[in-house]
Amino acid sequence: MTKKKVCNALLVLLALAIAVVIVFPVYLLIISSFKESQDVFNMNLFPNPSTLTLENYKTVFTEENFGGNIFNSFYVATIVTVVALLFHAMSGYALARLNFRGRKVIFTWIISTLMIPFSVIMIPLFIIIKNMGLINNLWGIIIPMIPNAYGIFLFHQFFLGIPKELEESAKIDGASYFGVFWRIVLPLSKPIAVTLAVAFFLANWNNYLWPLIVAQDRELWLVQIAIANFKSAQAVEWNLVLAASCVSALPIIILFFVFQKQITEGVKTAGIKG
Amino acid sequence: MKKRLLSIILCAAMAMPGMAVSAKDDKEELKFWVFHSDKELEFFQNCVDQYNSEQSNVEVVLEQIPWDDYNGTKMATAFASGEGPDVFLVAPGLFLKYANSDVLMPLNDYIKPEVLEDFSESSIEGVSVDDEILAIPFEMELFGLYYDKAALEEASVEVPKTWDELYEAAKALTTDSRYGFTMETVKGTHQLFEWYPFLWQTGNDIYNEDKTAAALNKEGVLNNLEIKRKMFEEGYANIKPSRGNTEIGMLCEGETAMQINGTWAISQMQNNYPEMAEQIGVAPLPVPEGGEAASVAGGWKICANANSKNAEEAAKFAVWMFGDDPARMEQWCTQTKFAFAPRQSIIDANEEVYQQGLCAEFTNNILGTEQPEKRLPAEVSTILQDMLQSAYFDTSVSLEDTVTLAEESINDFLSSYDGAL
Amino acid sequence: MKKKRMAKGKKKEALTAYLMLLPDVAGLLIFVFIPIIYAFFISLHSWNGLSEMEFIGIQNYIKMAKDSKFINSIIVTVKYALMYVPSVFVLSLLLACLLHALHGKLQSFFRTAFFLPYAISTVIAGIVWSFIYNPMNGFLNQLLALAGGEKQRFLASTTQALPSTVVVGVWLVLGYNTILFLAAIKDIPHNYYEAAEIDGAGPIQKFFKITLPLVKDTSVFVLVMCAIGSFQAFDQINVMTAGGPASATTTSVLYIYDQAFRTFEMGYSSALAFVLFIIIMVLTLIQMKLMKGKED
Repeated sequence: MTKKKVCNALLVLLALAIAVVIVFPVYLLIISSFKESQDVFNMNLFPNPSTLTLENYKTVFTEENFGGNIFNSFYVATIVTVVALLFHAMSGYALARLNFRGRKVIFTWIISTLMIPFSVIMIPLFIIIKNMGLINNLWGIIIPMIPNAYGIFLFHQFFLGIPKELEESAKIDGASYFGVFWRIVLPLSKPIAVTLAVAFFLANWNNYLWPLIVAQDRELWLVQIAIANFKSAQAVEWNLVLAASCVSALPIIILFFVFQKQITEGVKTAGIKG
Repeated sequence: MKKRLLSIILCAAMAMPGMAVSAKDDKEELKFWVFHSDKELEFFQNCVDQYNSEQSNVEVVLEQIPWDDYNGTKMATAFASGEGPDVFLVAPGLFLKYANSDVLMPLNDYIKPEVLEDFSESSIEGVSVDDEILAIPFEMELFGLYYDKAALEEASVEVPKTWDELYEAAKALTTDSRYGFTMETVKGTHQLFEWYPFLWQTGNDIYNEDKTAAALNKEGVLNNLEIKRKMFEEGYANIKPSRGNTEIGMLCEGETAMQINGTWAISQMQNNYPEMAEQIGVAPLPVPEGGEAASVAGGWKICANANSKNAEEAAKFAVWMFGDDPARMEQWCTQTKFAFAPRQSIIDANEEVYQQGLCAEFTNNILGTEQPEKRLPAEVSTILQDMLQSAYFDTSVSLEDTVTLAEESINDFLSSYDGAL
Repeated sequence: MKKKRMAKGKKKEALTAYLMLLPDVAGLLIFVFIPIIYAFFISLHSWNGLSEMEFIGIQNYIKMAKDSKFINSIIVTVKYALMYVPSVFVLSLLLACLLHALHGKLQSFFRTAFFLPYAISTVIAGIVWSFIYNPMNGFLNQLLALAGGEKQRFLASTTQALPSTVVVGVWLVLGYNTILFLAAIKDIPHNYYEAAEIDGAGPIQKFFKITLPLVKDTSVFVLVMCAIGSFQAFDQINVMTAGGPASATTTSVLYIYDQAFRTFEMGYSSALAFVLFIIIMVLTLIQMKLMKGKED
């Protein structure tokens, strides 16, 4: 018993040490975001609290339309995430479970779309979006971001690990293939779906280049464009960049905090396996 | 619960138009892209408002692009797909790319001859190809050596006048928590921009006189690269500046005792470090033993898109901005920020600005030694940027080899290039 | 009769599959694949993005063979991948095991802590880590000084810059991959471990005999995605070093980006991307084959 306790304490200590290393840069970001502009590069781990200020955050929020930019990011990231999850779950299931001609080819083809750097397809993609009349329109940012092999691949791997017995019993009861997916498999995939939701939301929330290319008007900027705009040709307002970045990281952290239990509760298939 | 969430999202999706507000009336729209913010953006907005109220042919719409991507991705993607702005700003480094692709509207017919005369000859030369004026320069930024007076005094170091003195000064000024000297370390056009004066001081240039081959492999050039390599290697020059070397903050906050920086640093100091006004000095860039003083004049130019539907109106607006009434350029160069104006009349009329504090140093000691920033084909620019990186940091390759490689690459490029130089 | 019904069932299965794949496949086709094909078309041209494209056949591909900078960028990329992929895989798997060993509030606390970096944008990560790596007074050098070590140049050194950027890359994605592994580990039936314990297996044996084989699907995903991701690392490197000093951190993607948007050689840049594409594709297929092989 005591041996186990000691063991546990050691584990906690280890975790604590690792956490300190991992969290340190985040701490640095946060503390720097409260510094005045001349102190940002002053490498001081524990600055005198009296030199810290809330001014940066105030300035960020008084910046023209910063709230609106945050809303845009929220809007884009939410729609992409919800739609993408549904589509990718369907694709992942079809590729992992259903038999059809060309399965392997389609799977390889889908994975291969991950391998071209975005900067190379950006101009052709912009031309397509232009022809769809979606320049300077949030939907021009949203629609191309939905298809994404990453999600399909992750769902595919996940469905591979779900025991087939579950679906078979439903099929015997006369459910259609889609019915099995919708009623049995999809609910099971909650942990992976939530994990992926966090990843998608984050990727789109932090997306900068493509939204910048599509959006022209300031009203359509996403939050990362607004942050980039604190850098001008010859001088960067570093304190504002850092404060705005903290603001923009907050929703992701909250999102994770809220959903993390679902992410890690695991699929309740333990009894069936093996 | 899930359903409710979904319906909220759907409602939001439908309620949100996502579409930008389109033109207010049926006037043709001119898109004008700038990368400025705050005070400078305000200046452009005021000009645009004034223009829109003064004429009824077109409605100019000012659009702001974050600086990082103005030159690169945003502009490139827009032009590549036929969505380029009607009026935009171009830096010398990119001028030839646009000029050679016939994207720039010739402005000769729109500029009055007496106005043209007011511009300095070299500034117009820099924006002309075969006698066609393709852009209008509206500011001139010069380089100088900024220094921290107290730091120099404390180390009893004189302001360096030669390269050797610069090296010695940097050495003497370097402490545990401060570099002696800071220049740009990041590969890019700015690093190259900073280097031109040092090239010209040696009496050399990138090409030979008839521009048929590179002419870099000269003793003076090698010496300059050698001194810098040494300063980086021995840690007297800032090997990893905390920010881009356009920021005077590094000098004002004590990260370095000397810094190469441009005229823009003066307004930066006024805005962000007013208390340092007395403590910072500026001097001409150090020269090689017996060399001639040189600086470089950079600065943006305004131009009109020749492929625009309303190219003529775009040209008219561009000329109205900076190629007609000097008032706007005067305001830009003397009030919105500090820069030298390429028009003599403005410099003459604003003695009180140009003879004030650090500006006076530039006006009296540096102005007149400058050459316009090179307009290079992007390929040559890249070759030179790579050369500088390798010369400063890659000590595994000798300087001779580095420069020879750059020369060969440039010659190789020139042999198949037939655009303007 | 029965056969017919089976055939019909099969048809239905295939039809369902095609319909379920349709939205994504159509999307990928329009928004990724067609642009890729168009990029390939561009790669056969000389184009600065402004003037007319000029058809030059496979000249861009020939040029590449002599382009020592591109070859160097591939070497840099491979080095990056060789450091990045195993680090992410091993560390995230170990962290997941560590988290799994903790319970309740403790677990959720550390889970959140490990995850935090993932919420930081890559650009900001680059900025913050530059503070840490600063050669004059950065935190890492302060720490080294405390330990009696010598100041290091990190991002300013041609030898240390690349490993330094790898650390940032790993730091960014570690938490997320840990969560993926944790979810997979939680799915392993507890009685497996109990049975192993009865057989007298220690923790290390349990890890190799039970945990590792049973998280295989996740491992495949993490390894493949990390490999692809390491070939796409861009933002944080661009912010921290812009490919320097000299060309010590110029990865292929950085080089391709430079060619497209700094030198404006759109054709050449596309050609480079295709060669890179083929390299990654081959590596990924080998990787997947190898992992499949293990299964049999």
